[in-house]
Amino acid sequence: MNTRNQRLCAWSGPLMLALFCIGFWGVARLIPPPVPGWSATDLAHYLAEHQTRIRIGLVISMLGVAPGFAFPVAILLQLRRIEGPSSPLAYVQLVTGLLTPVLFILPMFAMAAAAYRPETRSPEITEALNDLGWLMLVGFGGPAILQNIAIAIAVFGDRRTEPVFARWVGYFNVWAALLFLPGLLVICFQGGPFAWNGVFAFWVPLSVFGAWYVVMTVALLRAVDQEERQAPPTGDPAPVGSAPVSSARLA
Amino acid sequence: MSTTSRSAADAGPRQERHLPGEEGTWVFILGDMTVFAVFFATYLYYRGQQRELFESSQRELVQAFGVINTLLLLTSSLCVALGMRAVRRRLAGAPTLAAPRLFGGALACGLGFSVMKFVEYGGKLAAGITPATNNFFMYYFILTGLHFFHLILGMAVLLYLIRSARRPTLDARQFAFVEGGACFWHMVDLIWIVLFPLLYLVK
Amino acid sequence: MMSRAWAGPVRDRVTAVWALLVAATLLSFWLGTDHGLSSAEARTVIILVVAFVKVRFVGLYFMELRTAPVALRALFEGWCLVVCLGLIGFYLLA
Repeated sequence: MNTRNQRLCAWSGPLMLALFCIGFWGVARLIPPPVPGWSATDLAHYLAEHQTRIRIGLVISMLGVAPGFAFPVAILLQLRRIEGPSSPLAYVQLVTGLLTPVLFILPMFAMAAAAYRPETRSPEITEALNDLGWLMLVGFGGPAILQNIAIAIAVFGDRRTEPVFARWVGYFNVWAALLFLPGLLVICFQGGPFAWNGVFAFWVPLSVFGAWYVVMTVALLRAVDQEERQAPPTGDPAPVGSAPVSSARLA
Repeated sequence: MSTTSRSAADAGPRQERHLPGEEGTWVFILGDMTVFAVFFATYLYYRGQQRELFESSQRELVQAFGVINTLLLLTSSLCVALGMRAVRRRLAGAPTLAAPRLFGGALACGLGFSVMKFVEYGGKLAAGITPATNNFFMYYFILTGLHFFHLILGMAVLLYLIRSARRPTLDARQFAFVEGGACFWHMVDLIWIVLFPLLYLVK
Repeated sequence: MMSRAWAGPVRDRVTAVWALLVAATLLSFWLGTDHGLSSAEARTVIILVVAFVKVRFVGLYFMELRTAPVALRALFEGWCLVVCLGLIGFYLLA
């Protein structure tokens, strides 16, 4: 059951969010994103000028995203309580959820490469690397969508009188999945609301992303509390060094 | 909980308040409606910046398609609303098979809408008009496309409603899902009721 | 159990609402194809208002929010009001 470790995993989500905000937003100031419409020279100039803070911010972000690997594990364990021993949705959720931190780190490396030594190469190369980074960061919505749908299906299939996750969490996940969809359109637009700095491709999914972590963390902590409450009471292990207690004789 | 869920809509003068579906249903529906509202506002905002372009491009739209689609969705919503009443009557003991047929009627309307959509999109594409043509058509394709995606989801929900309506009994959870699904379909209708004039008629 | 026998689909209130919605749609179509008033702004504002009146009817009668808990109905009606006014505002001022 291991509720303490489960709770640690649950808190890894907000931790990742906080570190990502500090690194990517606070230090690197990459939120708001660089405008896709900038000329290659402007972009290279921008990256060269703010090289230090961008790099430090990215380092913090890359490390900070790592706790995000633990979060889907916490969700897996609770979904397994819903589905039982054979829990395909829980594992679909795990597999797709694990891709989120990966798909944060990889694009960050592309952005880091763009900011690595822009002064030594032609701006088009810098632009291409930056494009790769941002398109990947904002546009890779598929795994998250599937993760949310898997959670939703599992939640709706919960037949317990006191469900592991409240039903509205399922509905919330469906809504979140839908809102991640426009992000996929970034590869088609260099400006406007569906570009990688646009309202619907960036800001809405970003807000939903943050809200999803908050909702799921709360839901997870409640579910772990519930698991603790519903678990059969076990005897305390005898403290080390005390006289051995034989439970058979006490029974 | 009783399997014959009473509907306040069928009750007498002393009506009790009944939540259609469940709380989560409305988290989803109101949330989706809000996002669409933001979309609509964004469209009007960008329209204001390129008025002539939007107005001249709008003339390429065939308003009759929009009207037919609106009438199809209104009819489908009527079918769903009548279908829900039939579901309740059946659960209360009346020997009626109207519900699955009515939901099927709604599905047929949805299919009709889809056919019209293909015809409309096909016509545009054949004339060389794509989402990349200009800002108006970007919004046109994306907004109607997003709505169409919801409609397809809605048709899947209708299939589920048809299946559920054939069951002799529904437990509270299943009934809540059926009611929620019906409300989702009405939402699809409702979004189009705003989208149609917004794209086709606003000048 | 129901306290009032169902009078059939034609006499059901939702059918009357449907007929009203169809009429409103045709009215909007008529206005939108440059009939009626001369001012495009006036026509558009009426079309938008009519659209949200229709939305309200769908919510209250089809979604059955008329008999829903007051909080939910208030949220829905609030959405209708805010979005209607907001869109009219964006249309006139953007």
